[in-house]
Amino acid sequence: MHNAEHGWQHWQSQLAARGYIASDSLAMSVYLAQLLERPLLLEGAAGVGKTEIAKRLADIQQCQLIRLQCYQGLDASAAIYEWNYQRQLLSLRASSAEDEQRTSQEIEARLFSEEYLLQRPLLQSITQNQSPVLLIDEVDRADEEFEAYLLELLSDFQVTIPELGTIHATSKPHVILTSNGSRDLSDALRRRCLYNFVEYPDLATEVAILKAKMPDVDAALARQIVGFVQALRKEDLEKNPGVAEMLDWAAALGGLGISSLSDDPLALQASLVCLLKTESDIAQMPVEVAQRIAGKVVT
Amino acid sequence: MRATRFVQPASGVSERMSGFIAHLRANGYNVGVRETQSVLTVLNKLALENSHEPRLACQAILAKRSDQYLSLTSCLMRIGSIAVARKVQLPKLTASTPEKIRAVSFGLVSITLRWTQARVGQINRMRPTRTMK
Repeated sequence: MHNAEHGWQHWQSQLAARGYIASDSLAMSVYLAQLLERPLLLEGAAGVGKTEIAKRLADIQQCQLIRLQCYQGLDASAAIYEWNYQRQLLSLRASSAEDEQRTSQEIEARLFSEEYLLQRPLLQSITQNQSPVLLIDEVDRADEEFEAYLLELLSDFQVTIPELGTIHATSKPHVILTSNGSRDLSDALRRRCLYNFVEYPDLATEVAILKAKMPDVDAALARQIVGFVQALRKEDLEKNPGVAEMLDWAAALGGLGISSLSDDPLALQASLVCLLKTESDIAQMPVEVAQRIAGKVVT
Repeated sequence: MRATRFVQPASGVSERMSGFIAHLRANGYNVGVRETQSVLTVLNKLALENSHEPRLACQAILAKRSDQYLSLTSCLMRIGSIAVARKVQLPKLTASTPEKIRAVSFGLVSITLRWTQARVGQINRMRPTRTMK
């Protein structure tokens, strides 16, 4: 039965109340991830708000946010668990006299117990009393082999440690994976997740985001800013400006006291460093081009 | 793009759904029994007065890649427009009619299948005829 209070619109309004304007499809994906207790894979360009949704979700659920930032070379010891070798050695030396009475199995069982286990984000996320939000950020940056470590956690919410056995989740975490699409993820990983492709917001949505984040911005200037950024995304740039860059730029224009993009061409040009992140993109956007785009959005 | 041909329209609810999933699978979608179950679970919880909510749910559950996500969007949008063009009357839903809810949701699936069959027929008619030597 459809329950309006806890349906996808409820999530959409909860996110909006926290300054996150989610599209219908994104709100539905978040709702379904909660309903079906499945991980949610968010794919899209940088700066469209993939990471932010996990933070807002933790805020709504009033629970802990556990973040695993992926990078090349990330392995199980940094992501899942690690034995505390120093403590194990110290303990072994300190109790050498006592250990003479014990069998090797007993010593081994003591050294490889939870007491000497260092929990890393993935293991930490399944041993909480209250379900946390687990953010596995930029999973495409990790090596392909690392995805195999994630499969058990994503499908069964459990982690197997050879010396200890299988650790089941005390409460299932709300898992959000993000990817910028720099590498194709495996089918095995994708099959375990619900999927949403987060696109750049349309003009009206992006204006609403700007107004939600910076309510003091004049409505006309807000439309100019968003119109300019959206026009910039259609140019052949190396790195398109995301929503985060648009907000930075709006703050910069506010700081410079600009009330219209046609006010001061040089100040406008100087402020573009907030939007353009590579040398070639800056070179591609001389004053004339910036003024041409500004002229279109001001009229 | 490969398309699944159905000899005759599927009758039961589960048969229709599995047929739709099989059709997606034949077109490169990596979906299976779990996705079928998830769609069935979710469709029973959504408002089905319009096709918007089922469309969003199907996208989230059945698409696994950006290209699939975008093509499923356009496909399901097309289904929605066909439903409007044919003036498909969806029954009014009440909380006590889960079977009716299912019937409506799988009505959408059957429209998909009919559209696919029509499209395959259209493509086949456009192909040049080959003569056997």
